[in-house]
Amino acid sequence: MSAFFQRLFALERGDCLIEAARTTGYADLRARVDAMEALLLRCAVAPDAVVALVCEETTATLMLLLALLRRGNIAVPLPADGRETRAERLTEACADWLFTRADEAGLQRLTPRDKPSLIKDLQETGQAGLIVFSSGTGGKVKAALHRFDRLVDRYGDKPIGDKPIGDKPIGDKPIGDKPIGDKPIGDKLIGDRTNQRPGLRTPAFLKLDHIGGLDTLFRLLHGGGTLILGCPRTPEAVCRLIETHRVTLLPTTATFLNMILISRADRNHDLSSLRLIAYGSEPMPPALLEQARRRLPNVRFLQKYGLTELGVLETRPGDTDSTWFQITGRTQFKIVDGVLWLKRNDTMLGYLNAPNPFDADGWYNTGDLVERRDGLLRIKGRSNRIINVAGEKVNPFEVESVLREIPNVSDALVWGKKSAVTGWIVAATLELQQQEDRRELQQRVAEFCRHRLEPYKVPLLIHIAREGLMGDRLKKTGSVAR
Amino acid sequence: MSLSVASKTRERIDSVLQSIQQQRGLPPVPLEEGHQVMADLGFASLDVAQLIALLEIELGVDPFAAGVSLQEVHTVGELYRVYQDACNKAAGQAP
Repeated sequence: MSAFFQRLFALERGDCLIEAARTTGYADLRARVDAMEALLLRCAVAPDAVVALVCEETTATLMLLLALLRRGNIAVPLPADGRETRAERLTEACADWLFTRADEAGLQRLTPRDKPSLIKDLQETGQAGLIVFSSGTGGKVKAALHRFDRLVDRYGDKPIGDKPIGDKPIGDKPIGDKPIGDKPIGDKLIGDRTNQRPGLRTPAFLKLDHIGGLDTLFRLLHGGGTLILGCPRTPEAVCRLIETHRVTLLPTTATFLNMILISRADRNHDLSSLRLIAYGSEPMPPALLEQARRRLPNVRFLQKYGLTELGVLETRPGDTDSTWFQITGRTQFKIVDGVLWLKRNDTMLGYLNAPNPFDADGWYNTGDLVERRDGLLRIKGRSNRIINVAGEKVNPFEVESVLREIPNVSDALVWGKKSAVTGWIVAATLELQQQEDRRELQQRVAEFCRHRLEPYKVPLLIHIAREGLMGDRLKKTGSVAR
Repeated sequence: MSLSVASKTRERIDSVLQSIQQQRGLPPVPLEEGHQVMADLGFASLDVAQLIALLEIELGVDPFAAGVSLQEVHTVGELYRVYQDACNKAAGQAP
């Protein structure tokens, strides 16, 4: 049994999962996983089979996922709301089995497919695997094969449970991200049941078929924390859940944090339990972070940084402004033409359906534009979203940050529109708090931006969003080229 | 295109030209067919790019994406003509 599961099953105090009114304690975890393993045995699912499961946010589904990973299967978490992409994903993953729900009636045997060598090689090692799909902004999804033990080894051998948080200034050591040593998880820690402190309590906010959601699950279980399932993704419901379950950690996105502040849902509920907001998936506008800090003064904010291909990295906030962050642990980084490149020795094994994205020396081009200051990094946007206006480069994130400060604008998505005159022009779709005439809005935007942006960065075309800009990954939907 | 429709097209073009003038803080120059868009109205290349983008929203056509050369359009009068032609084509009428 892997070190991860040894550690997990050594935990005996506290709640592991909360689903509606039902709680699963760490003391019950092993028996629940054993029961799922018995189900797999009964259904003659081979211990090295590739098994897809629809990730409904239920205790049973998570027990099934853990059972698959403990056995050495290759698990393929699928989105619960992604029926239209399911067939494609099953094909790309060469799945042998599909669980549409976590019981015998939900199991389907799929047509056997010849496996790519990446899968065969992993099967020969007897190690468990995870196939995670990139939620790319266009084109075919990419299936990334990870070795499970390598994905979770990065959590290190810190003591079980979190340190007290919230009473230290930003810039002190972050929660859950202690520098990782080379030492394996030792018997002393695993066996030391008295060492368990109360863990973090967090909602399963990020989806569990996504690398961010999976990292939340595994990291939390590794630390003896409590995951609250069935998290509704509206500001009011999330704030209510924080109050009800005394949530201490909220993993989220800049877009959703913005929605909480605009809706003022934070003022309707007691959020005093909240100690840490970990944000990722998209750049954080400094003005939004400042506003969030003022509204939630007892909460620390941490930039998380993860990629389907590399997993979620260890980070810690900068000294004074946590849009600056430090990459710690085992990750090497370099910046080439403003773009962040990363290197680790525990990345995915490879894509099943796309060429190897690593260069000959093992570096991965993240495509993220970053600034560097005193060893700290700040994300500025995506290199593939840069708009070229008559030869001038415009970073949409910079423009969006300004637009979001305009009164009555709750969110902004900047995109490039083709132009016969300048090649491209900057256009923006704005989400408004109250309805407004588009022409008047266009005038206001021009006036507001005049002294804040160079003329070529000012949006020349304004659209008003008919519905929210937040996509199903709780961040803004990607740029629109028209 | 009937006269009234052509007249409405001109009004909408004028309205967009004036909104860009206002937005850019340019001195309000009365619009005349002989006025050169760049030399007389003071439009820079970004203003012309915005004009075309906004007219696409207002009129539902972009003649320059459909093959008309920018070099054909210097004056306000030429702008009217190019857009009226494009609107006619879009409506399935002969120019």
